[in-house]
Amino acid sequence: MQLTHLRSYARPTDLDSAVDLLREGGRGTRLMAGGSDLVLSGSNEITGLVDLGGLGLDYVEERDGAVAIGAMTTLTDLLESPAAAAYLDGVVPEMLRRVGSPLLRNVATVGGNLVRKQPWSDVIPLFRALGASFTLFDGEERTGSINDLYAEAAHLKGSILTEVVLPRQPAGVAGAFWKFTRSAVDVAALNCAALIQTENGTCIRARIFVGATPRLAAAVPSAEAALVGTDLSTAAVAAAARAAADDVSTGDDLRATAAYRTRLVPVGVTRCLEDAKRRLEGATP
Amino acid sequence: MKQMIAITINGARCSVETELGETLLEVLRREGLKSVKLGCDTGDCGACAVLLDGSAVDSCMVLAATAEGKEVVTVEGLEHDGHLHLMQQAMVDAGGVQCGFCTPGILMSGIGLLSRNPDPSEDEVKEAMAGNLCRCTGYVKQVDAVLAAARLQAGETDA
Amino acid sequence: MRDQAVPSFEVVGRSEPKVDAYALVTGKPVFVEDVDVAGSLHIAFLTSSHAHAHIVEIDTSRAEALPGVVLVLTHENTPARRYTTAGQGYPEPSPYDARMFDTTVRFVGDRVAAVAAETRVIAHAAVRLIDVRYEMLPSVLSIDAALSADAPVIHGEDDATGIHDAARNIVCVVKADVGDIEVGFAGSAAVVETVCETQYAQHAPIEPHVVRGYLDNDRRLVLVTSTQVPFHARRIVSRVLDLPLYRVRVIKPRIGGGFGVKQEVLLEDVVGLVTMRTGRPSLAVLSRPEEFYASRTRHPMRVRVKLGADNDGVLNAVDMEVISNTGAYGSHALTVMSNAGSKTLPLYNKAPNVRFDGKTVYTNMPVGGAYRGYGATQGYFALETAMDELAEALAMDPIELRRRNHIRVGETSPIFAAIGEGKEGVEQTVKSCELERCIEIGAERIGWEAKHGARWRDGSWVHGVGMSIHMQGSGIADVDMAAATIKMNDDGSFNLLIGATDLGTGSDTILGQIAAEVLGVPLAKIIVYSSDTDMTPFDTGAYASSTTYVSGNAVRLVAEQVRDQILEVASSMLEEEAAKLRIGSERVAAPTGESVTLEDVGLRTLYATDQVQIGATASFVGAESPPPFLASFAEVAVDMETGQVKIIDYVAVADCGVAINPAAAEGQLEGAVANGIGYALTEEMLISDHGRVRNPTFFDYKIPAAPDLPRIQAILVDSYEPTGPMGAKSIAEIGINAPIPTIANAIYDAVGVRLRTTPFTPERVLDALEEIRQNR
Repeated sequence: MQLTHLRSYARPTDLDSAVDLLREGGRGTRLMAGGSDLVLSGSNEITGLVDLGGLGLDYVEERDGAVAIGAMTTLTDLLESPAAAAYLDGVVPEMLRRVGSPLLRNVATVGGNLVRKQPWSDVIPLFRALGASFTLFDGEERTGSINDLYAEAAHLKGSILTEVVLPRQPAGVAGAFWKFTRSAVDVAALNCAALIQTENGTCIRARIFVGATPRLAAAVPSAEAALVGTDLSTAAVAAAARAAADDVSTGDDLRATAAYRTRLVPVGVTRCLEDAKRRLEGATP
Repeated sequence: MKQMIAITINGARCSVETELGETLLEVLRREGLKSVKLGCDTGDCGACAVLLDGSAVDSCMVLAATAEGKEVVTVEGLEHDGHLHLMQQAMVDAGGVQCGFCTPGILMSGIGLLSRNPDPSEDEVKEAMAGNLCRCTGYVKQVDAVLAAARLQAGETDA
Repeated sequence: MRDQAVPSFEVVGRSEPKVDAYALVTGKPVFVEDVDVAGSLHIAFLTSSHAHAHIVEIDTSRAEALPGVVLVLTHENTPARRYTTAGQGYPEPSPYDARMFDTTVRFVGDRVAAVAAETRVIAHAAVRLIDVRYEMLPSVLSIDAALSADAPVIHGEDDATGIHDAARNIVCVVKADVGDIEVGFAGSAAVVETVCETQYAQHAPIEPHVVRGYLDNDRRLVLVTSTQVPFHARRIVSRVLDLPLYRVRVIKPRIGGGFGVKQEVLLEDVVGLVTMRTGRPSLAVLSRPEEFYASRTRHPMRVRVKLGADNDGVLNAVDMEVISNTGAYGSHALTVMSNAGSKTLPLYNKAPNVRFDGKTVYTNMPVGGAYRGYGATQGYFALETAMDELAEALAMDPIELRRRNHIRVGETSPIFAAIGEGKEGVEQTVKSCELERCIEIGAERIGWEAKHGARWRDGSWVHGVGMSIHMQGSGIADVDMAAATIKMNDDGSFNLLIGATDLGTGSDTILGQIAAEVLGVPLAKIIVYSSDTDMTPFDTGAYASSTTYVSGNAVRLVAEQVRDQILEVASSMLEEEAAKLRIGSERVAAPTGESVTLEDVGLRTLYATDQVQIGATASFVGAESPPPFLASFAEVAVDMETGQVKIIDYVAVADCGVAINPAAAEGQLEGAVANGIGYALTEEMLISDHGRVRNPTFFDYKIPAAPDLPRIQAILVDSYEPTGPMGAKSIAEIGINAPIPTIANAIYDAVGVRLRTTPFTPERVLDALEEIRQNR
C-alpha cells in the first residue's frame, strides 16, 4: 500500500548519520529494516524513513562458537547460513523455515522481527530462550541481554538495533522450537521455544517461552523450575507441561480460542521439550 | 512527492520517476511490466513476486525507493531471442498454467529456488512456492513443472 | 493419468498446450487491468459499516469539492430500477431485489456511494469525505434469527419482485415429492438422520473483480470485464442503465479465475454509468478485502438428510431438507438451494420415495452467489455423511453400500424432472456412467482394503481413509444455449468465434480442439476468439459445467457444417461425390487417393470459382444434462493431541466422458479438489456480532498453499457420452464437492468422531474427541 504521506527517505552509510536523521525527522520518521511491515501498513503517519540497508549490517558470523547476526540480515540469509546450521543442531533454521514463506523471508530481517514485536513472532521466543544478547547504537553503543528489549521499561526510541549474538553454548545444551498453525503458511496460533542444559544427566538450566497466546512470548518460570534438578524424564516433562498449562494465560483471536490455546499449551511444551531431549541425545528429529 | 530512482529492469538501466511512497509493484506496472500482478497488496498471495537482486520478493511490500541501484527481473525479462526460459517452457509443457494470474509469481519463485537449490525435492519445491497462492491448479502440475525445469537445467549444465 | 487406451482421435484426447499458454507464461498484458486506457477515471466505493440501516442523508459536497474528483454517485442520482446481479439466463430465477445504490443498506459491505476521480488515491480520499447519516435498523445475523417470529424484514421495499415471502425473509422455496416418504421410512429396516452445516467461504480468485469502461469512436459503451457471463452482463447493464442493448459491447479478455464469483454483474453497471455520464474511460477494481466481503460468497447451509434402507442396504426413502442463507440479496438464492437436491439425489435413484424441501432466507450478512459446486457441495456433505452412517448401521462396507445404490447406465431418477433451475426439471436417462470403474480404481489407489478400519498410529497421529461418490451435470438442459461461428481463410485455417467464456479453464483450447478434430487440421490452424458480444455469437457463459458439453456441441455442429461445405467444394474439384470424400491432415481425399489441400479450397472459394465465404453458425441446447461422476478417496491423519487433520493422500477418479484435453481436465479436477480441501479444513469467513467480516484478507483467511496439499491424484477413466461432443461431458465443478464428505468420513474412520460442521478445525476435532472420551 502506498505510503501517501511519505516526504523523506534517506539511506545513510554510517550509524551516526542514521541516528541524526532519526532524531531530526521527528514523530513521523521511522527506521526501516526489511520494510515489509512499514509498507504494508500504508500508514498516513509515516512521513519519513531512514533505510538501514546501507550500513553493512547484513552478516552472519561465527565468533568462537557464538553466532553474530547483523540486524539487517534477512531471514533467508540467516536460514541458509552455515553458522546457523552448525549452532545447536540447526534449531534456528528449523524455526525460520516455519516463518512465512520464502518470499517473505527474502525481505524480512532479523532485527526488524525482534524490534517489531509482533505477538506471533517466532524469532523472539527462540532467541530469548537461547539467551541472545543485543547491541544498540544511539550515538553510543550499548549491549545487553535480549530480554531487556522486552522488559516493560525498554527504551528503544532514538536507537538502532545493530547486532544480535547467539551465545556460545557449553556442552550438554539443546534448543528446540514448536509452532502451531492452522495451515502451512500462517503466523502461530501458539508457539514454544526452549533451551535445556544438563550436566551428568541432570537438568541444571531450563528456559521455556510460550508465545502467540495471542500475546507476545513470555517466559514460564514455573515450567522451567519443574525441570531444573530433574533427569528430564517423561514425568518431569509432564510436570513442566502442567505448570505451563496452569500459568500461561491465553486469549481469543480469530486464529484460536483461549480454551483451545490452553489445551494446546501442555502439548506444545511437551513436544518442544521432547524435541530438545532428542537433540541432547544426538538424534535430530 | 516525486523522485527519480535508478534501477535496472530486465537488464536495462532505467531512470524511473516515482512517488516517494510507492511500492515497487506500482512502479513496475506503470513502467509497462504488466506481468507483475496485484492480487492482495498485503504480501500474502505472491502474484506480484519479482526477482530483486536475484531473490524472489513480493513487490507490493518493497518500497520502490529501496530498489535504487538494484536489479529487478520480471517475467518479461525471461524470454531470450524468441526462446522461452526453461522454467516458462516447463510450465507450459506440464499444463501448469490455467488462468495464468499467479503464473508470473510462481515462475519467479521457481527460478529463485533453482538458483539456490538446483536439485530440489518435491517438498522443497512446494516450500519454495508456499508464498504463491493459486486457486486454479492445486499446485500439482506447477510442482511438476519446476521439477522438470530442474532436470532440464541439470541436463544443460551437463551438456 | 489414463487407465485405458483412448478412442482414436487426432487432436481431441491430446493434452495440447493451451492456446493462451504462451501469452500467460510470458506475462503479456492480457488481463483487464493490463491495458491502460489514457484518461481513465478510477472508481472507489463507499460501503456500509452497518449490517442494516436506512440512509437518512448523504452529503457528498466535501467529496465533490476535492480536486480531482469528477463524479460522485449515490442513490440520489442513479437509476432506481430493481434487478438481480445474478448472471443467469433471462428471465433470471433470482429476485429483482437490488438497486445500483439503495436507500437501505442490508449488510456490512453494501454499496453506499461511488467516487470517480483522476487517481486511485484521490478516489479513496474522497470516499472518506462522504458524510452519511444512518437510521440503524435491527439486523438478522443467522438462519435462525431470519426465521424467528419477530425477525426484522430485510426486503420490505414494494418494488422488489420474485420474493416468495418477504415478510418472513423467505426468498424462495422448492419442494419435490416422489412416492410417500413416511411410508418409505416406516418400511425401512435401517434409518439414519444427520444434519450438517456449512460455513461462509469465498472463492478468492487471485484476480479480484475488475471492469474497464470506455466509449468507442461511435460512442458505444464498451465494457472490458473480468466476467464469466459477457452476454448476461450486456443485457443486465443495458436494462439497469436504460441504455439500448445495441449500444453496449462487453468483452472478456483473459481473466484470473472466477469459480462462480464472476457469474455476477457487480461492477459493470457503475463503470458503465460513470463512463456514460462523464464521457471518460473508467476503471473499477475491488480490493482484496472488498473481494471477500462485498462481492459474493458460498451460501452457508443447514442440510438435513434422512435415509431409510432395507437390510441389504438398498435405499427405500431419501429425505433432504435444506435451509440456505443467501445473505442480503437473493442472487442465485433459488438455484443454488435447489441444486443441493437436484445434483445429489438422482445419484441414489433406487429409492422409490424421495422428498426434497428447501428454503432460502435473507440475512443481513454477506451475499451468497454462484460458487463451483453450486449447492451440490453443501448437499453432498449431508448425503454422503448419512450414507456412511447408514453403512455403519448396517455393518456394511461404505463402498458396498454405494455400489448397491448408485445410478447406472440406462437408468433415470424422478428428481431429474422434479427439480429444475427455477422451473421444471428435465427428465433424462443416464447414457454413460463409469462410476464402478472409478470406485474400483480409487479404492485400490488409496489402499482401502488395508487401511479402512485399521487406524494405524504414527506417534500422536492416527490414520484413516474415507470415500464419497458424486455426480453433477453438464449444462442446464433446455435452458443453456451456446452458439459458434466458423469461417475459413485463404490458407485452410479457420477462425472459430465462440461466446463461451474461458476463465483459465482452457475452454478456448478444448473448443478449438473439437473444431480441429472435425475439420481435420492441427489445433494451430484454428484461431479462437471468444467472449465478445459484438464479434462472437451467443453463449450463456461459463457456469453449470456447461462449456465442454453445450458450447462443445455447438462447435461440433458448426464444424460439421463447415466440413460439409468444404466437401461440397472439394467434390467439384475432385469430381467425386461428397459422401465418398474424407477430410483429414489438412486435405480432402477421394477414394482414388487424389486429394486437394484445404488451402486449395480456401483460395478457390475466396478468389477463383463460385466464390463464397465458407462458414457457418450453429447453436446447441442440451436436451439433457449428462452427469459426470466422481469417486473420491482420501487418507487423513488426525493428531489426537491437537486435533489437526492432515491430508496424506487424495485420489479423485472421474468419468467426464471423453477428456478433450486430459491435462486440462486433470487440472480442473486437481484445482477443484484443492479448493474443496480448503473448504473442508481451513476456510471460514468469520462474521462479528455486528455482521462485519473479521478476516477479509489472505493473511487471515487461509486458502491452501502448496505445502498444505498432498500430490492430488486426479485420474480420468475412459468413458464415452453419446450425446456429448466427441463423447465428452464435463469436469468443471464435480471435484469440489468431494473433499468435505470424503474427509469427514476419513476422520471418522481414523478417530471415530463424526463432524457435521465445516470447517473441520483442530478445535472442532479436539472437542469431538473430548466428547467421546467423556462418554466412555
